[in-house]
Amino acid sequence: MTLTRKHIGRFGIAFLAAAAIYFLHGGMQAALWEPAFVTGWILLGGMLILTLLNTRKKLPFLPLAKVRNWVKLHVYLGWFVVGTFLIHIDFHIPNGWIETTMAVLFVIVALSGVIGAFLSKSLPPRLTRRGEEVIFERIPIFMTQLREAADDLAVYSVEQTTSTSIADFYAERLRDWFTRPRDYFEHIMELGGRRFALKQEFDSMERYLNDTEKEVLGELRALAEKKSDLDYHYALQKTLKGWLFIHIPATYGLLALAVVHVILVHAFAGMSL
Amino acid sequence: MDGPLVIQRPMRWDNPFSTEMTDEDVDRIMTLEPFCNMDESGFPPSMSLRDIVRNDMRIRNYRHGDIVVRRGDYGNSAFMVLSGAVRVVINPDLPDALLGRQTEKKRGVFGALKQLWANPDMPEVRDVARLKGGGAETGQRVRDGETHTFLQDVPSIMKDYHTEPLREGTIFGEIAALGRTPRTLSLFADGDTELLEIRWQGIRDIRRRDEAFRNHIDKLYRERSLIHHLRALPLFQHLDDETIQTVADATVFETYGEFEWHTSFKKLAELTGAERLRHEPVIAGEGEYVDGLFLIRTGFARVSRHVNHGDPTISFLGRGEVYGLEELVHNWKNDDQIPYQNSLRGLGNVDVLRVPTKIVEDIVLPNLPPNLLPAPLVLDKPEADSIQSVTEEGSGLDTGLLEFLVENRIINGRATMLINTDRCVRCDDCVRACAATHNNNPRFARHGRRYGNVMIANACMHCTDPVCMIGCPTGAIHRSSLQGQVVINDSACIGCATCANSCPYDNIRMVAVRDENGDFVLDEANAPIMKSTKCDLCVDQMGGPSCERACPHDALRRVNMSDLGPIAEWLNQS
Repeated sequence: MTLTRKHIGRFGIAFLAAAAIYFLHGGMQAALWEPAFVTGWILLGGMLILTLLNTRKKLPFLPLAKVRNWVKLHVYLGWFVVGTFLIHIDFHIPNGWIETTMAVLFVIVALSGVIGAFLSKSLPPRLTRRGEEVIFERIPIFMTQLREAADDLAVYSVEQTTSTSIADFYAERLRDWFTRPRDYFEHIMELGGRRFALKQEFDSMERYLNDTEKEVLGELRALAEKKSDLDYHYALQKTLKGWLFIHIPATYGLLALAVVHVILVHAFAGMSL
Repeated sequence: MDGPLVIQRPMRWDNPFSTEMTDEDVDRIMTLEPFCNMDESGFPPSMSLRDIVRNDMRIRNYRHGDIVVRRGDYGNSAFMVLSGAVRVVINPDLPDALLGRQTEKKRGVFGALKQLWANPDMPEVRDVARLKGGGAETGQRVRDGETHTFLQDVPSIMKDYHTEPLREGTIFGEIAALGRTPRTLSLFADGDTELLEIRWQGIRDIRRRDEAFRNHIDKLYRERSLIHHLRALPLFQHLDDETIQTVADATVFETYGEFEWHTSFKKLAELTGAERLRHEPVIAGEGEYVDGLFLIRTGFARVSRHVNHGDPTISFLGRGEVYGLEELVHNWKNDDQIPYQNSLRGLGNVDVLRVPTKIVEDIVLPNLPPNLLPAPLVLDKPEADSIQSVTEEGSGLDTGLLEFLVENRIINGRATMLINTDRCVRCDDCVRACAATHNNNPRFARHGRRYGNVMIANACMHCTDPVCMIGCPTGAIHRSSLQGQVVINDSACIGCATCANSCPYDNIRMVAVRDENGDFVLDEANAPIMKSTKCDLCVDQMGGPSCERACPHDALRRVNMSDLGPIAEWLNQS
């Protein structure tokens, strides 16, 4: 992703808004007011607006602006909320278990959001460039089909060649690998080690086979490559979906604690003033 | 080895229009005007007039009130009244409900919100009362294996609408059949009526070989459509009635290529570039004398330029677009005369109007406001030697992508679903949004042909040339009165799958429907009731296509392929 003027402009607005909160905070402190109430409410308001993205997604039939514009708002408002949060906690780690838990949750939400945004930009082009487009929910079906085809090929090789070389190779080195998604981190990190090792194993097997067996091995190699492509799609698509399973529950946890925090703060407001 | 299988080469009439045409039928038709006045010697022995009558025509019987054609339908045949009469509805138009169509209405806020809780849990659930046809203003009857839609109350229609009878010997529907344009009027049978239906191939061949018939068709087109067509183009809008009549009189009609492009383009796409070019007739060749301005009436044409051993596509032209204007203006303004700078080739079937150079130079250009004149041609551009620069000069799209769009006839789409897979996070929010707005039934698959990072998803493209609409027996598939979206009236659909089989892009699905309890609805023979389903572009939703609106990363757009500029801009943005 390249930063355009639009991106810099929107980020600049978020930064300036957070800077304004900072100066407001300083001014209120100088006037001996309690700025945490103001920044707290701004923070809560900002977080509620951020959660509206999910609500908007649940209402596709209402003309509530396009989701892509909500996402842009979500990203830049998110940065503003991070700035406001730092000002609200006065750039210190808070004390008290509720506040500390909230701070930890906030960091988890913010960090997972940043990581999610990074993944959303960096993984799709990688999916485009490897293998066929495949719908995530159908990957297990395709994997089963591949495994069955590989099983059949191993049996066929014994019948056709009266040799167990390929069947043994398959049973010992590949069968288990074919049974479920594999090499998650290798694919995410784009290491390619397994792919290289597989190629080497197939290459080295070839020297012990006759022409008919080589043909069958070629078919098995093609299946293995397809399986590797499916693993790749599985790993990347799972990651693209997975970060939301951290981001969203943490958000709801944070909001629930924020409500408790607001009640407590206002209940004991007289004592702190 | 047994060697390759040898079969007889498929012939023009291997699939006649009807297998029930008898010698007596042919004899009878040959005694009727205009066929009895045609010079049979003008037809070659391999394609005699009698053969055309036997193979490209069929006799159809209608009962009182049966709808013969509907306004807005697309057809590929014309009709002649053999006995009885049909009534043409002149004014006002018959309402959509009478034509077997649904009246599209946008949902209100409550109607939209209701989808939150009212969508059924099971797929393809229908209101059984509507399936039984309760309250319909038209009826359906099956005769000789064909379904006919009929008007329930003909006397009141005769009273409330201005209709005119068409009696024996009258031919109608030939312009729409040849030009694949929508029918402009609705007609229904007035009493028991016998019609001769002539498919387009027959009309084409008779027109080609019989001067009187050709003149008749051309005269009809000049009278009914040509002036209207010219008036719709900015180039001719400033001309007065008399002058535009002069232009119309001088305009020449030309037809190129195969009419049924949708059955052949997939095979053509597999050929090499050079082989494919041989199937694309040249309308105006690069380097040829500029003999006129070409207006595309129907179909598509490819603009290409010869570079070394290839002919890269610069752009494609569709209905209403012109070719040759830059060269004509250049020659009109300058002493040095240049030929056509590019080639114009027919993609499938294309109908063009050619306005001769003299008419353009003497009448059109002198009256043209300066702001409508094209930018001067830049001749001998040094970068024009590269294939990439030639392609990008026209559209701004990547060379390969443009060729892919043309070869696969994606250019036919008015609301094609493009997915940029470099941006798509595979979240399926688009599919979920589609399901939420269609009773929990997604009307597209996030899957389809791909070129690089551009996927053409399997969603109805709401085509410029909607071949799916040809042959629907009940008129259930039609263009919406709202914005011309191609929609299906579920109540009128009889599940014959004509549209699904015709769609060249496999974007129409047949589904078995269920009742409110989730049980399949069956007919008397215990076979499931089937319906055609497809994307309706959220015609009844408040905000427009929910798929595009739901995409969080701007990875999905519904695009009109006649305007490549915004597509290039969208694909190229960072």
